[in-house]
Amino acid sequence: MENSVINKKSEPASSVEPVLQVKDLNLAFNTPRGQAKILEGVNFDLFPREILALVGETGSGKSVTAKSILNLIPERSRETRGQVLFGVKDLLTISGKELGTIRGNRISMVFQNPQSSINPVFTLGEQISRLIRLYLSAKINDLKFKTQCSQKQAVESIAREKLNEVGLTDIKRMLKLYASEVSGGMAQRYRIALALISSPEILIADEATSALDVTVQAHILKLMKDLCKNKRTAILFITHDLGIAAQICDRVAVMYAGRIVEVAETKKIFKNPLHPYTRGLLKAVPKLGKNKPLSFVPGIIPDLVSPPRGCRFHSRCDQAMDICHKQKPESLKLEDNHNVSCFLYKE
Amino acid sequence: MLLFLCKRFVGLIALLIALSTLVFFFTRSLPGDAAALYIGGNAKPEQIERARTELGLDKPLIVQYKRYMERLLHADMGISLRTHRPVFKDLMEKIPMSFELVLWALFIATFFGVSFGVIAAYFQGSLIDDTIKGFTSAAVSIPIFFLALLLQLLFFNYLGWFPLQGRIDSFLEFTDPLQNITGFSMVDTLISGNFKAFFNVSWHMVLPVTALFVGPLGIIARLTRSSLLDVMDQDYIMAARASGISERVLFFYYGLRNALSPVLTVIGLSVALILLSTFYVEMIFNWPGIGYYSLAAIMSLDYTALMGVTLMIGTVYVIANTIMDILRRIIDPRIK
Amino acid sequence: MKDNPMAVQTDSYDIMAQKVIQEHRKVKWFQLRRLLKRRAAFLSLIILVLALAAAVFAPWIAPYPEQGQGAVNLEHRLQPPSSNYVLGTDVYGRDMLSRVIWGGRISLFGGACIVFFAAFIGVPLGLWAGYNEGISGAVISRIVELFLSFPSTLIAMAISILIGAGWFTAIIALIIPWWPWYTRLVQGEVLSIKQMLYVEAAQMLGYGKLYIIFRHLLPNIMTPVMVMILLDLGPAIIAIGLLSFIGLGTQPPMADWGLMVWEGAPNILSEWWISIVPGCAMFMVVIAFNIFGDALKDILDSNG
Repeated sequence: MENSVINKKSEPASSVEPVLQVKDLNLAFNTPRGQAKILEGVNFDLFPREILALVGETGSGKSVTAKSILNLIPERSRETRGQVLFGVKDLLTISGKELGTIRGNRISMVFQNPQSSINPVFTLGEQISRLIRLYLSAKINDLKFKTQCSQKQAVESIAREKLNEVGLTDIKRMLKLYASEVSGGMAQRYRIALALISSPEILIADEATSALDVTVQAHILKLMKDLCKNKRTAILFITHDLGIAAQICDRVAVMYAGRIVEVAETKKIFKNPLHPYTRGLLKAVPKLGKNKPLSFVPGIIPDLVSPPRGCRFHSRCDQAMDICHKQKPESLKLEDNHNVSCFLYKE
Repeated sequence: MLLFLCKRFVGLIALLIALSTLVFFFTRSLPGDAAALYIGGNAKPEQIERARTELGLDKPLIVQYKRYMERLLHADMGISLRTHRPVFKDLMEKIPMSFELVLWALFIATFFGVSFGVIAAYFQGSLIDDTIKGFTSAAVSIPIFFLALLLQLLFFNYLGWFPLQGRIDSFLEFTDPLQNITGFSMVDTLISGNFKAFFNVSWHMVLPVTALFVGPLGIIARLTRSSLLDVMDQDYIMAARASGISERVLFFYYGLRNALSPVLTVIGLSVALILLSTFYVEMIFNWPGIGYYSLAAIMSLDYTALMGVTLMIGTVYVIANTIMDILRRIIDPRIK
Repeated sequence: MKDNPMAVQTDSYDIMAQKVIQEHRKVKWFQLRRLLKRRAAFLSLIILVLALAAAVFAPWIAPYPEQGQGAVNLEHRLQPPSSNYVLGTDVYGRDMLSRVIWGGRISLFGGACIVFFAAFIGVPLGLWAGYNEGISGAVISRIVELFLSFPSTLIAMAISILIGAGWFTAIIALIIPWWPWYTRLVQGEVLSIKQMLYVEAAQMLGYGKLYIIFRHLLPNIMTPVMVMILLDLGPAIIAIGLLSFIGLGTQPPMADWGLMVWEGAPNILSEWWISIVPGCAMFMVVIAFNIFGDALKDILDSNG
């Protein structure tokens, strides 16, 4: 009896279809020094209504993964293999036109630096109106019919409503401002409002709060979490901050040098980290009251033009074995949907 | 915005004062005796002395400067040493003739320059891009005087499509003479319904205008292309792309407006380039405008005329730049 | 998220990134190799090397060296290209090939002088003005602004009228409005490099101004300055031609390419080669400089 309850809770995979499946995603840039293999076999699923954190150091490939999902990486000098399945469609191979109907409409994205991701020469009002006209034409007509107002007024009132939802005030003034005239927190709220206009199924937040102050960050995090629960949006939350991941995410995927090394539910990964890299990361988190020197993961991310043979982490791993130098570890599925790519757990 | 306009206006006035002061000291330190040049030939010493008093050259420098500035305010630039007419009158007569060429060249260079740049950027890396790149590289590399001579050789001598030089065929000057209303020959002929002359005049303008617009067109096209490609790599374009805006809107609406600000600056610079090119083009095409007048002034060291020409070109340039700055400010709120 | 201790330490990477930037701004060997793989750039380089060789070895290459320097040869006036005179002869019967080779000497050397001296004056002033925000920096900025407010060619013409016509004075007249462009370029670069961590670190460690300027700033601005020098050589050659063409530059019997085009202009419809030959030489060299400079800039920009 108890067993079945645990099973039910910890195995959403069997009962619900994932909204997004990233399968064996490989990406390489051609640089003058040779090919840099940025992503090497990235696999993960995103389920409806969950918040999945993608955690890793700078340069581990989390942002590239996020941008690859919407095929945003410029095509010149890049090579991609693998699949990004959204329903039955592979986002990497569908036509640009079809991709256009998904981007921003069914999958939205919020970027790291809010001010630089708003076009500086158009007012905030102009930019939100364009998206409203693009995605909510039915609602505009509805409103026009109901209140007998002009197209412009209808768009503006929707814009107000949407910006109100993300907790912005003094909207009338704000619509006339430019990106350079608002604070980072306001800009990010505005970006989130833009991203949620079309009520997307998936929201990708690429370091969406990293550039903000801690207090603003907390607000934005709560806002995102609430909005997405209400609108039934799944979030892929990309961050380098384990603390944030612990606060709001259902599951955590840890990325290292272009590979996902461990995926598990948030509680499990904090209680029982399996991969030596995850353990190192968690040990590096200082704890109040204990007067121990802060530990850290020694070494740096390897050069991806000539990555180490075998496991990409072996040179920094204190538990490295012979096999780690020779073979790439497979992803092992352990109990409770805990996935880890490490030879330590291979029987 | 109002504050910005005021600032630009004050800056403009300051630059014009600086310009006229520099020009004054420049002309006063020119080699040769202005009074002797004014009389010309082998003049007697007492004649030269009389000319000196007449021109006010015997007064101290500061008094001369004060008088010069006062007269400038009344559009009085002195008497040309070469033509013995008021320089201002000379300039007013010549300006429309040159500006007819300059404005056409500026318009064509801007319109096609921006278009070519946008097309090249849109088809980046394709054959079209390479063709435009090749053409614009050649356009910025060809010396203006060489281009003008080549045009004459090719289109007059070998093909015979266009006239060699001048503003109008000489026989038409007797049968359908130009009426001087605005000074712009194309406008004048149209107003007076003189269509025969209108086509003749337009036909004469093709080669000089071509010589003038090729270089600026190349510069503008190259800058437009690189500026657009720069903008298309920015975060906000990627963010807009991620929010589902189509590539075409992204490029022609979102990107272009951001990319235009450096292009406007270079259009301002093109005004100077075209004005100075008229020196060469008008000489080669025997076009009786400002360029021709300036060159004659340089050759004969006609210092009052030189002063007037320098003042005029400097003023036009400064004003053009100010206008471009204001336009930049309108399309791009970041500019302070 | 800098103050959240749970963040993975990223600051050390920032410093590494700065180092990488610092390194990448130097021209690398593989970049030059890629440059030569571009057909247009390679072809341009060949043209430039040939032009330079012809200019340097003019006395040995030119078929009639004394005519190249201006000696008249009146019995062979205005001859079209033939086996004796490959590119024809001019109004004074001088061999055009020899004239063009000698003219190249004057044009190329003049262009190089203008650009190098302009950079030589402009770069240090730009470094100083960019690094010092005090009065001296402000004064330099104002002067630069004043120069850039008026058309450079007009200033050059005015100055060369003032100090007299001639090759040497034309060079001086062109350097004077040319250096502020370098000052402005360098000043802008310095202002952005100054924000970088390694400069701040050096300041905090108490290194002197001059040490920081020469050790940290100068190496980092060298690449953009080099590219600008390369891209300016073409316009400089044209600029001398422009002055010579209206009689303010090189004086006969010596001639640069611009003056030679002018000498042929009255006869353009009959004896076209007198103008076209030096004009083409000028055009080819300038376009070669432009294409080569563009390609170099492209490759340097495309990776850091």
